[in-house]
Amino acid sequence: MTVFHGGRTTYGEAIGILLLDTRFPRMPGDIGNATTFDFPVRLRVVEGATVQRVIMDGDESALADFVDAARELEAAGVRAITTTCGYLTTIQAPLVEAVDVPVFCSSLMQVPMVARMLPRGKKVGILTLDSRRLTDVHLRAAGIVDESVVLMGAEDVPAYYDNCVGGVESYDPAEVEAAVVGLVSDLIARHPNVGAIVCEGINFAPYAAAVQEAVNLPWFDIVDLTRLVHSAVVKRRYEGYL
Amino acid sequence: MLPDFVEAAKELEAAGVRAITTSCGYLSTFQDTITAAVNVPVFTSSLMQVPMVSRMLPPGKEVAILTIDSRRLTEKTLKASGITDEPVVVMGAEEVPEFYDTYPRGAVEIDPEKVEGAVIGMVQDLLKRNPKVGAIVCEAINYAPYAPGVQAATGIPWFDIIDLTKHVYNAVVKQRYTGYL
Repeated sequence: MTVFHGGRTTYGEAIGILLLDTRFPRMPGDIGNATTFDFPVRLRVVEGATVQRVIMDGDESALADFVDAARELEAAGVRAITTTCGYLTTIQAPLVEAVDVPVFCSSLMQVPMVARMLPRGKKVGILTLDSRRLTDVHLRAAGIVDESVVLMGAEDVPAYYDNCVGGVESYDPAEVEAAVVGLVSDLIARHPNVGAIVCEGINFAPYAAAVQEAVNLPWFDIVDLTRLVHSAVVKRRYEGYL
Repeated sequence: MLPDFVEAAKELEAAGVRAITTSCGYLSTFQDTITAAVNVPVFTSSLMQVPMVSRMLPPGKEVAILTIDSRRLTEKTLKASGITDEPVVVMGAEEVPEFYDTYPRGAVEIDPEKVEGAVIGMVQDLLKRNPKVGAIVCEAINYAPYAPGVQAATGIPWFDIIDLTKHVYNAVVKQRYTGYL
């Protein structure tokens, strides 16, 4: 006999996503756009947690709000929790303490595993919004210790950077895509020993296919990691045959 | 056997694959040699997920490694997967004949319902004895078909080589998104 346990109102949202408080359009492919996934997700905005506060100022006072929001997601039945900001490795430790479900704050948590998949001498290129603001503290909190990485920032690409940081509310995705493809192509030309890209910046993900066409490198982002964790917390029966 | 694996990996690369994996979680010991031989990403074992999964869990929680034979999963195999000081519990099927006498012993016929029942019982027992287990990483390929049954019975997150393979596939074959605002 099977017994179903209730006790809450909503069901079927296995992945909870904590969002920074932003106003730019979140494209399909952005983890803050629910149509990015082929399974339901529960989006929860952490009000007041702006890009300026969390990334630019490194202000940790929003932590209590993230913890409350994570607990709320857990109470709503999500089976794992992630965020829309790769810099949030810094809240990984407090969040895993606060809830009982797996938490993966940042795509950067994949770096050690990806580094092991590459031939010796090849490096993981970390594509980030602003390489000046991605510190050893962020990397260490993601489990990155002695892996060889190259930081690749978009701080000199206004077509991308200003959307995330400057509060731009509309943009032309074709223009942003061209800028991102140009940025990564240029970085890979300068760092030919990059064997794979791990994308810290959420907002790059919509352009992953275009970048891969141009540079032909494996690309691991938070959408990929979210799908991996979803497949771990929602196992489905296989339907093949012998 | 290692030279044969290296040759076969090179053959796969020449055939155009974008990443290479294996059907045996113990093969993490070949990881370095195979990555040195080809230019595509190589993930020999599901165990490579353990450090990352460990970081996703609350402090004090452990990753349970589900393996065929816990006596044969050595420190060397774990280290080759990047596992150093992560708290892990290793659970093997050596006392579970419904499983152990089939796949590892070359049985050509298997009753999947019987094996599933045994695997579910084995994991329930593991979780009862180790309440600190927060997730399973499944080293052994042959458990994967029974993962949904185990999860339905226990609710435990379960990472296996199928999950990791889908993950790497997503990384090497990026698709355009078709959603909307």
